[in-house]
Amino acid sequence: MNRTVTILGAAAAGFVGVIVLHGPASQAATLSKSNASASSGNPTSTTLAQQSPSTTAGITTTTLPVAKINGTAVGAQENYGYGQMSVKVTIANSRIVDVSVNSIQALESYSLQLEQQVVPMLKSEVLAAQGTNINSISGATYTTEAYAYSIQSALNKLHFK
Amino acid sequence: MISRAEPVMGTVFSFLVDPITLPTDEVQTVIELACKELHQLDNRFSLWKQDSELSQWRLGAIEEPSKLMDEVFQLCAHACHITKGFFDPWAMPGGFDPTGLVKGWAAQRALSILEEGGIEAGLINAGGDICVLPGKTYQIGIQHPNEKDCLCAVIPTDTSIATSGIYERGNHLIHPFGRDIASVSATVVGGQLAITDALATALAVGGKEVLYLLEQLEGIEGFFITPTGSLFKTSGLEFSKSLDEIN
Repeated sequence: MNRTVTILGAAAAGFVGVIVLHGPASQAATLSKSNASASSGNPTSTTLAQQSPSTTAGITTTTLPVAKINGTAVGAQENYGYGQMSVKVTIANSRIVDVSVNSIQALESYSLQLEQQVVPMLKSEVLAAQGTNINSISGATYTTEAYAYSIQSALNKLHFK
Repeated sequence: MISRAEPVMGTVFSFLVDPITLPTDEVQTVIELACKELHQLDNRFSLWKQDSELSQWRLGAIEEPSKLMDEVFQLCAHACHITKGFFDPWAMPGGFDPTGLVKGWAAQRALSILEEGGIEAGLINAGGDICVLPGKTYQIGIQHPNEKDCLCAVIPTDTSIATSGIYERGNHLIHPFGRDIASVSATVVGGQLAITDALATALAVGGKEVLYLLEQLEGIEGFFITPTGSLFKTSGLEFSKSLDEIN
């Protein structure tokens, strides 16, 4: 089955507007249209796409287990230090196809941040871990072990390992 | 692939192991040992646990640091030196805070346990900072700082990679010279994760000034993204150019 991973900006081909800096002393930056790896000896800069994805590509997952598992389960309510949360996991053809927050009880504004920023990253980690050729995700530290626990309990309910 | 997520050190450490020759149960046993080490290091270096050696040290209750604590001091001093003070655990409000470096260092120690246990290929992701067993290259997606569910780059590595930024936990970075934080996200690749982690923090804080320092370090590359969305990188940094290459 197919799943779409969106990669913005630098990852894909097609670097535009690469700025080459000429050493720490130089304030002036020269604009040149070239491949990001073309320059040597100086750091380079490129503008990051911020709005619509510049490249979308389907990554086909490769392995399909014999016994197919399908279904959706909500994991246990877990404390995450700032409130409680539970996670919903959807499995189709024995692959996790979606992970979302089923409920979140916020004690303070941090929780909003958790839902808006931390959860998507953990979600991409969960999805990435099961079959695409991107092996792991690097990002600023996330702090929610509750997410991992709740996912695990949802997976247990689905008898999915 | 065998994977395991271990909540420790206030984040989640995930293990991804290629069991090339080792039976699955042996792999699990080795991962268990590595997790045990992580919890022991957490107990020693946690700033949230009042009885940890680090907390006690900050309170002035310890005169002679342990060998492990001493190792952390040495690594911090080295990282502070090569970043010209942009990474400075002694400049943190509230006292000596090596948290960023300790996480990467702990992951590296856990990785050594995997290696000693006979695991030939795999990686450990310490809440977004990754170290890889030597010999195999892994493709690492870099979280986009502004777009949910998106990556802003894919970088191959057979060593380590760390990302630091203000988008996950809000602005927790401190500029040691009291200036504005230069980036929203910074990634460093290469070398030992303890140092890579510290370099990523320094790059996030110092931006271009630190990028020029990285440019001179052998085997280390990096990039950072400014608040206005520009990406600056070292000349030797190679992104995975197309999805064909990734696949």
